[in-house]
Amino acid sequence: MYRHILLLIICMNLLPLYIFAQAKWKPGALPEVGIMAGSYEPSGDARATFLLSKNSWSVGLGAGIDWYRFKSVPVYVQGRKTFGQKKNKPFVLASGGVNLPTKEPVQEAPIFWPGIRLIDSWAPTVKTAEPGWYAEAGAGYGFFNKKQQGLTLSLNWVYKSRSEWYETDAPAIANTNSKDRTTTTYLMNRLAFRLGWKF
Amino acid sequence: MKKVILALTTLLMLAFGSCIKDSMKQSYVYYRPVYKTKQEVRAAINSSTPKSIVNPGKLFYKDGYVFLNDLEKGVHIIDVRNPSSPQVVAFVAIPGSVDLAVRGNILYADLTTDLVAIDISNPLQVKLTKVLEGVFPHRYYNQFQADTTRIITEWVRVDTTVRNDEVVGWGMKAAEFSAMATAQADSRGVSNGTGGSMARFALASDRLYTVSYSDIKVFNTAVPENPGYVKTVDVGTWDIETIFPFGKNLFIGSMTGMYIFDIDDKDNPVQKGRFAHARVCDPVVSDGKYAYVTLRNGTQCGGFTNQLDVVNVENVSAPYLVKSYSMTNPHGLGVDGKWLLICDGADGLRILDATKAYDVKKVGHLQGINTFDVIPLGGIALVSATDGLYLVDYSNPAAPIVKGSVTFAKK
Repeated sequence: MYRHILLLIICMNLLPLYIFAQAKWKPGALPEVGIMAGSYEPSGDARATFLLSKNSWSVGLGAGIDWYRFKSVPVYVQGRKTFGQKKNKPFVLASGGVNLPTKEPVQEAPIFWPGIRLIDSWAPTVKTAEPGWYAEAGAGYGFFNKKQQGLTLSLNWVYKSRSEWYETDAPAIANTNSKDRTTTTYLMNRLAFRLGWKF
Repeated sequence: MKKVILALTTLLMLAFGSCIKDSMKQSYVYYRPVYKTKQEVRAAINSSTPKSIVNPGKLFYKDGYVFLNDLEKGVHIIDVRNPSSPQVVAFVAIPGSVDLAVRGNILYADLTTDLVAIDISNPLQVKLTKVLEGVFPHRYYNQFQADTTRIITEWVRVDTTVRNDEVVGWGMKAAEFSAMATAQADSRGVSNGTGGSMARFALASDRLYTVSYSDIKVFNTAVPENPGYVKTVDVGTWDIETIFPFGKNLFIGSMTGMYIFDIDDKDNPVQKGRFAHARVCDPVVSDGKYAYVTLRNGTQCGGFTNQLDVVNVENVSAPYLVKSYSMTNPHGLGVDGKWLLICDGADGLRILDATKAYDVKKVGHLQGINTFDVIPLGGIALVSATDGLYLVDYSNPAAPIVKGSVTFAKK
């Protein structure tokens, strides 16, 4: 699955590169590292975004590794806009995409409800992780040279989600032979402070 | 410009500060109990229209009828007078029942915490004759507290989604969900997902003995339709699950072995030893001189062998292993004279000649059914399998054949 997505990203970059080259969109790259803080332990991420820029607008595709709470691989599209005519200038950005899970094991916190939840202790619990969503919005400041290359600092709200599920046999006393599915979805909101270099 | 940056950063922190929290939602299934009053339940104990057999448990044969317990639901009455065409003729609703015993024309069952005596002289018109209230401990289901003033008659499946927000606050760690660890159910064949106590019955002489997790209860059944509670004897351990009579003894089954209780004084069972050659997971039958025990892998007792053990029990306090015989995955067994019928799991039913304990010979083999228990009835055997109840003709032990069957509800 991951190979397919990477291949898709590469293809999606190559085609518009050619198209946009004809319209004078300049290609570039923006690797970044970030520190994230939320209601869980502070963590970080590292990512790279391939950008096409024209005038004050930039669009691009990116991917990275996000270590906040559950290690995952966000894959996203991003748009940026700078303000002002000087070399150093502020910008805003927004991203959206998918958050791909890794195979890291997760601890579940069960919830009590006015009934019974029974898990067959002799059946192994195999959890399947599902991709979630990824979104971001923020603002920052760039210290650029004449070629619009240089250091970027930004503060962003970053959201990602992750789901996992497993199935167990229904308890015998319920006199049914169905499979009971439990799905847990984690919705994570963070603030990220990022440092990058725009090529 | 610096002021703009500072203002922008502060604004962002203030604006998004309240968004800095994780949340979680969980979708899962739980089971909601449906209650009825004791009066309603007792009034409904009669021979009602037949129902599908979903979770077969213990069965008992009497006068051409099979009484088959459907765990926690009641008893199915099956007419097997024509082995080629067995018919489920009635269902008796006994919520919470997990075992039964029959003495004369009286069937004893546990109605959750009560012992009921039911006249089955006419299986199509059974009648409740006596209720002994509160003789068994209350059930508990993991950590769910049931209303003990009423009886749970069924469980309704409910899908639900619950959301819980975690911490609000900038820079503070969240407390995780309060972890209510759900106690895990035992394997399906034993505890049915319930904790606590479930009665197991055994009749010896005119006494009914039941075990419930840690004790033996004695009931006087000299007048079968009017049983009376006698006493409770503590076994001294907390993992008791089975009981069966063995001559003038009771074998009480636990995870680690069998406790032997002498019932020479039938109202006062006294422990006199342990029988380490079988555990609660290991079915045992005896012809008085030898005990035949099947051991298999895949049970909650652990173990890695699949075999039949023949144990000399002439001195029950000093039994000794005569010989072990390899099997595929043996479960329940029965003895009919020199013939030993063994349910060998997916490998069907085996018939062995046990004339010589040290040289038991395999004689017949019926394949194609996944078997787990058997009652030999002198030529016709009642065989419980995963998909139904089979009547097997073993009058020619070398060539057992299926005469008829009753199918269980599909899984």
